[in-house]
Amino acid sequence: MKKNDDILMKDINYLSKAEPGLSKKIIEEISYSKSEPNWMRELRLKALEYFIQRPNPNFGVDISTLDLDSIVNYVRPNSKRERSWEDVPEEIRENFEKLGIPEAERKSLAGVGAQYDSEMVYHNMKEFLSKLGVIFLDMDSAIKQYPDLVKKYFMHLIPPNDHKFAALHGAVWSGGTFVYVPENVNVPLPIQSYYLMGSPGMGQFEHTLIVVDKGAHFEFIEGCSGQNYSISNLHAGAVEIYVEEGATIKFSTIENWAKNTYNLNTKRASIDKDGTIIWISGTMGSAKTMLYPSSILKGKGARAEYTTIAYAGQGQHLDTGTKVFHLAPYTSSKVDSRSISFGGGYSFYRGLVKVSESAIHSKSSVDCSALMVDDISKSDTLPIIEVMNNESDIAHEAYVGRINEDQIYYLMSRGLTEDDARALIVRGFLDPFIKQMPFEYAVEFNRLIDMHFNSKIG
Amino acid sequence: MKMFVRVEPETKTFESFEDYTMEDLKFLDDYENRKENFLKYTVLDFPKWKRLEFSEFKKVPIEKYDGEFFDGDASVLVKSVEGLKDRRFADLLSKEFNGIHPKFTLMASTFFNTGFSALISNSGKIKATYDLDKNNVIIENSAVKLEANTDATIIRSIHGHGTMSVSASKFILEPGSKLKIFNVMIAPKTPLSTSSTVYFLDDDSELEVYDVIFGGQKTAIDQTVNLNGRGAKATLKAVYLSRGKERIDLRYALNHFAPGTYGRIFANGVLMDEAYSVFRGNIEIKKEASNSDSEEKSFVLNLSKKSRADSIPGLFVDNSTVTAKHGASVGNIDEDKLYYLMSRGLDERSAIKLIVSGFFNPFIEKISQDNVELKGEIEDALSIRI
Repeated sequence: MKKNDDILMKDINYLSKAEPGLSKKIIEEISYSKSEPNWMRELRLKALEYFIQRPNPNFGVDISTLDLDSIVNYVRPNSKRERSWEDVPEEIRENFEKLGIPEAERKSLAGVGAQYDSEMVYHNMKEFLSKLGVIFLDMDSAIKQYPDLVKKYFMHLIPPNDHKFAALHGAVWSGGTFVYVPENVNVPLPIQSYYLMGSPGMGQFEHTLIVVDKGAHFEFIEGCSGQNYSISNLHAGAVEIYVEEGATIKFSTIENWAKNTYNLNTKRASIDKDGTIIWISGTMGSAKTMLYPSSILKGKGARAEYTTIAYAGQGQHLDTGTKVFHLAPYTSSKVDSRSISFGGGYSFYRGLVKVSESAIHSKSSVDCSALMVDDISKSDTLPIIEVMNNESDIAHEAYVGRINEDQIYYLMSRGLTEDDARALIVRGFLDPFIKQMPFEYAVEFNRLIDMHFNSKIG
Repeated sequence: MKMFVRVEPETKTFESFEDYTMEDLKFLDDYENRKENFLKYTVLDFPKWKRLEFSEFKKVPIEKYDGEFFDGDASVLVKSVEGLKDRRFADLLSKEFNGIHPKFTLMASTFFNTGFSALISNSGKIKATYDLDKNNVIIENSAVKLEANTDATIIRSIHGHGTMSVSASKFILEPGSKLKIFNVMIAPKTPLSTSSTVYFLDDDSELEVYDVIFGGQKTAIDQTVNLNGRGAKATLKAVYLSRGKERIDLRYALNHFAPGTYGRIFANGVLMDEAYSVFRGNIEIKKEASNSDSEEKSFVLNLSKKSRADSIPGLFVDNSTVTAKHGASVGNIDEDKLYYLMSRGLDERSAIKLIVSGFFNPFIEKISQDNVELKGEIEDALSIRI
């Protein structure tokens, strides 16, 4: 994960690029060019109707400066989906290689997907996994090869009329990943997908659909980047995760969109009996973000765990949070959410824990803490708790505060400069998250902190 | 530097078929002085409250308040209808503020039929008791000003079974003054009970608020403290019990505008039957409020399968040299505690009663001995309800 500014994108030949803005015609063209089945085309057109009807969200970041009519909703790079990295066109390959992507695959991943603008350009998975019945495909291929399976799940958790940007996503979604892990299969290494936005003024709307069948174990990593342009880009992806009985998924995201990006993303998981979801989520990029990964704990004993950070620097307003719906007995959730705002950045934690009447003996603990490093930044928290039975234990704690001067003083007395001391404390604060990240991301993340705090160590 | 805008949902409103008009003013004293407020009142719609299920306003005639309602010692202590003619109170009595909603705070400053105005120049003690049994509609508008380096204790209570109580009270604490105030509401059968209070705290002033709430059927309470002066200090403590189908929405807000200010919110609630409570604690620390310290804690003891508790604590911090915390929890009685008490010979009911009393007793103890009647009333309300 390199700094966005370091990446100078190579110019790409585009095969097809939609007109800016939205119309029935554009959507029909997208659907036609992908030779989609009827039901998908109809879903897109229905979603367009919802999009037109729905108002902007009445909370979160100010998106009045986002001109949806000037966003190019579909940009297809001149490349087919390749299974061999060498076959991906050189210019695109170079852009990804600058992010260190193909090396990672060789080392420690079970599979890799890469999306450039609106389409997947590369998808590959280790052979032994396909023998176990694991499906890892780009979304377009999945619709063709497993139509029934995809239709059964696609936009059921996030219906297109959920909110305005879910509707937009439903209308113009393109690319993304489909994963199916069969019963009792334990995928020993993570699969990773990368999303890169290379064109100015475009929207990226990838759809990720993951089904982890009974008793299976799976880890997925998502990395997002883009080049900085002077005009706005929009990312409105969707992630739907189905965790069946006794299954476990760890879903990690490192979001480092360019600072001109509006990231209005929706992620939702349903967790069945004794299933577990572990969300690891880092938001450091984008100009404005609204993202609240949700867990619907619908089966007895289902669990959700979150470790999230938001890292808001100059020019960034990050409105992020977590939502947990306890709908069955003995469900549990644990949230550790941390944020840092600096250089005039604004981070807002917005949380919801809802415990239904039937979710007796449920437990939830939410911890959110915010570290303020200077006087021009802002940090808010607003966690909502709604409890509808009397046999649950629900607790929330939050803390907003500064770096403890005593700690700085102590570290300086041990020979560190003040900048080094601050960077060290910031890293310590974010440690629970950094620990969970893949190694190469963790290294890059530490560098990012050092850079922001002018530290030379690390 | 460019500031970011936080987008927030607007309060939904509804246009009521029934509302008070100029005609309703005619039954009240000092018609002329209320007219200006009425013009502001009449253009506003009523708020639509989802959690409180308030979406309809039934107009009930406002009559002159029957009976005496206050006594005590203060340099000036008059009915607010007198205060309206007094330069020292007139502006404060008509001061606009949000409270639970401007429609209700303006309703109070326009249509009030009760309320007191007080000026504290050295030391004061005021007791105000409002009787809903005798007065079907109580609309209170009160204003209190504590001059520099004075102190006062105020006990406000509202009791009985009426149709509606609406209250708007404003307090000014000048530098170095101290106010201790008790607000007791025992009006469980009253369909709509609302109260909005705002405090303006100058340098080094100190505020202690104790709220004991047994609500109405629908209760909305807002206590907002503006810590405007350096070193100002506010502690808000609330305890409430709701049962039956009662709904209660409480909002406590600390706004830190000055350096070195201190704020605390502590709230404990008990829910029974199908009661529904919403607790909102809001801490805003503005950029100017360096080295401030603020904390909020809320707990709801949920005794029934069918009750519902929402907590919405908010921290909004613009300054990096502060400490701001909140903690909110919802749970049942600790099994160990219950087991221990039962092992000492108490039956379950008595044990629960003892634990719940534990929330209320510190409040009752704080009320001074010359209010035996009120203390007894709170104790009775508690024992009837459990």
